[in-house]
Amino acid sequence: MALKILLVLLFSFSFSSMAQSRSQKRFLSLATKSHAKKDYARSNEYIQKAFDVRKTKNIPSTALYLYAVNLQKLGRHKESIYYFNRMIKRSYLKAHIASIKMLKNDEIDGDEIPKLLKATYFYMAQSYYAIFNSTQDKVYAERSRKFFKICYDSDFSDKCSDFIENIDAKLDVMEKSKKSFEFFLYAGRIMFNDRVQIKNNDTGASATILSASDGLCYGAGLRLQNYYKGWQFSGCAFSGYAGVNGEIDSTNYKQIGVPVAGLYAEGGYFWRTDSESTRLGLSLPIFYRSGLYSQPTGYSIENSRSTSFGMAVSAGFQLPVVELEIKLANMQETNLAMMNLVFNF
Amino acid sequence: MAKAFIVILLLSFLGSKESHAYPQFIGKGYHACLTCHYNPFGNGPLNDYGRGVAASGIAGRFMIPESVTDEMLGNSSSLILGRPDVLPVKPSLDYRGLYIQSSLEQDDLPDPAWINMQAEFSLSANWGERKQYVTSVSYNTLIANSGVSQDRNKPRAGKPEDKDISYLREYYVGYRIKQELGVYVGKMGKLYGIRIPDHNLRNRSSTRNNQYSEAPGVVVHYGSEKMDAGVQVFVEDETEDTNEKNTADAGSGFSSTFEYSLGQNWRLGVSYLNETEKESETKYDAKAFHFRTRVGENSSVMFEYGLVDTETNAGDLTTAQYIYLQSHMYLQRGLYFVTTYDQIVNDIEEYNETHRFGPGIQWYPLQRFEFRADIFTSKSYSSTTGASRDTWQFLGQVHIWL
Repeated sequence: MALKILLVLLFSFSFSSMAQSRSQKRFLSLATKSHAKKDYARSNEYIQKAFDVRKTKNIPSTALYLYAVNLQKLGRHKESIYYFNRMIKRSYLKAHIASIKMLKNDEIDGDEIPKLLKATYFYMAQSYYAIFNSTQDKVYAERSRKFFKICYDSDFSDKCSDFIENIDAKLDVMEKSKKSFEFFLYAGRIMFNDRVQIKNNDTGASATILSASDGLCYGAGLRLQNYYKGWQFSGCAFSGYAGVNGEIDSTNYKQIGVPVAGLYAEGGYFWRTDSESTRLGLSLPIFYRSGLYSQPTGYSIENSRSTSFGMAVSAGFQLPVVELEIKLANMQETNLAMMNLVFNF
Repeated sequence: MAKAFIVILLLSFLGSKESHAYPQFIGKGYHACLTCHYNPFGNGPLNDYGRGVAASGIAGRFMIPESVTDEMLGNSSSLILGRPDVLPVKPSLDYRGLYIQSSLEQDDLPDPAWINMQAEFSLSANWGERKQYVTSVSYNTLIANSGVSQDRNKPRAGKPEDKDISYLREYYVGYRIKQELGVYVGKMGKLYGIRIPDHNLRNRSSTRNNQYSEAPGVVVHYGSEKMDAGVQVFVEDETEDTNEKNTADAGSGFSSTFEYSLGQNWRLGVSYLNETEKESETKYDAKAFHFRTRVGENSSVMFEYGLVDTETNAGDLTTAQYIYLQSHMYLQRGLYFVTTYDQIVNDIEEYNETHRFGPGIQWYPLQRFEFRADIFTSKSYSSTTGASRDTWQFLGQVHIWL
């Protein structure tokens, strides 16, 4: 509404003082009326009949303003910005330079900026905003933000602060959506429970015995991620000791301190549900374990080396310096838990 | 008017700063217990602010239309669905029920059980010019644990038979000498460690801090913006047959805890408890180091490491060790992914360890409702057994507070 009043005032006062031809005055009057009826295309047709819009030097600034506003309303933002800039250069260059200077010093005084220039900034800001939305080019976001800031600081429109908030929010999302690689090293405790087959060499009878292992794991990995989610690939080598317990041929087979070693590797997806400081992951691990189990006389251990695969869930929390990660995996006969300290580079 | 109420509530607690029902809410920036509870060390009924903030900032908005604002939720958070500050004496009701399905690793599953852990009616009041007087009484009536498919009279492990239990779980009067310093007399929880609601974890159960461990005594609390400290001298509750509550014999002694805030996000603490059982004369000496920290915007990690010396009247001394590590990852408002690690070493001189890992979900769909689902897997390492099969357990919990 304020802009419409501004337009009416501008046209009623300024046109009367112009030394223009009768036909130009008539077409401008028709252009104003069409603009008021929101027929922006028709409005610009009248302006084009009155002036050669390719030669902006000969066009009064108010007509240029109206032409640019119509283009803005029609969604032809780049052209709109061009004509606004021509208008500023022709009639408001000094005031514009002063406004930019005030903005840089963060000392915007709305009374020192002409009303038409403030309205121009408002429309230009909207055009830059629209271009930013369609191109995602941050340059336009910065320009839009700059002009909305002048509008806001000069109390031109209440909408300006909302636009600024939107721009900041969108820039934030863009920044957070940027993908990057992250390398990490980790070390932790690995505990797993799996099965070992023991076989009677004479009878061929076999039995499954339990193996519970506890060790340390050292590994590294790579993430391709943004602020919200990402992919992770990692692997570690571990060593530790196992205890085994089972029964074959009515005899208990028990051993503790069995050296075990192996590899754990996985690839998976994760979400940062709270912020970049947390990570909830799902992955597909593959696990290789080798154990130096003692073989009682007459018996042999069938799978002192085994490979298994399955699924894992992990939760990570970034603490100062390191990330704490807790991981649980179920891989066929192997049930595994890990607690790691992760150092992200 | 509504805004004025919220502002007054916020201003009235500006000095003591932040807190809420569970210690995990350090993830929301709440450090101390007193802000949201009548009891300065947490547990028990929420005060007006606690009710308001739980409704307007902690619990989710499941099925709540957008037209209902958080302020409106805060203003209807009392038992009678109105503003919690209207009544001079605040009534509240609490119910907790636990569904347990153990031995998931077995082909032939045992019967699941339903345990009524809490069915409590409380009355609390806070009065005086500076609100310096406080009192709270909580009466717990536990209907016998019939279990989902369990016979009502079937004995449960560690308990002679199921029967209803009614008792005064907590009662006290308190006086804040000044804002920072308060003295409380009555039956309260012991001051030890991070006061989590998971009393099945060893930092609660092996330190004589389970769900039945409140003891009559005197508590002195000092709380400032940066720290909370407390000392409690307690005696055995002579009025109750504690065996009925499936707990070890109560004793007398003292407990103390100290927590200090490092910056906005960290809370470091130490605790000490010394207790002697009256009948068996067994002495317990527990000490712990603990911390809680905020991670990200709303998540948290809590850690407690403790040693518990137990000395029988025959002079046998054993030292147990426990580690508690629990994280709450914020998924959306009212919804958390919980990861629990619980390490138990009953005697540090022996190779006999149990490690429990529990991924789970904690959901506050609305003010007054909490649902929890955890799957625990236990790994045992022992020099005597060689290897034990991992065990699996499902715990589902319903918590309703009115």
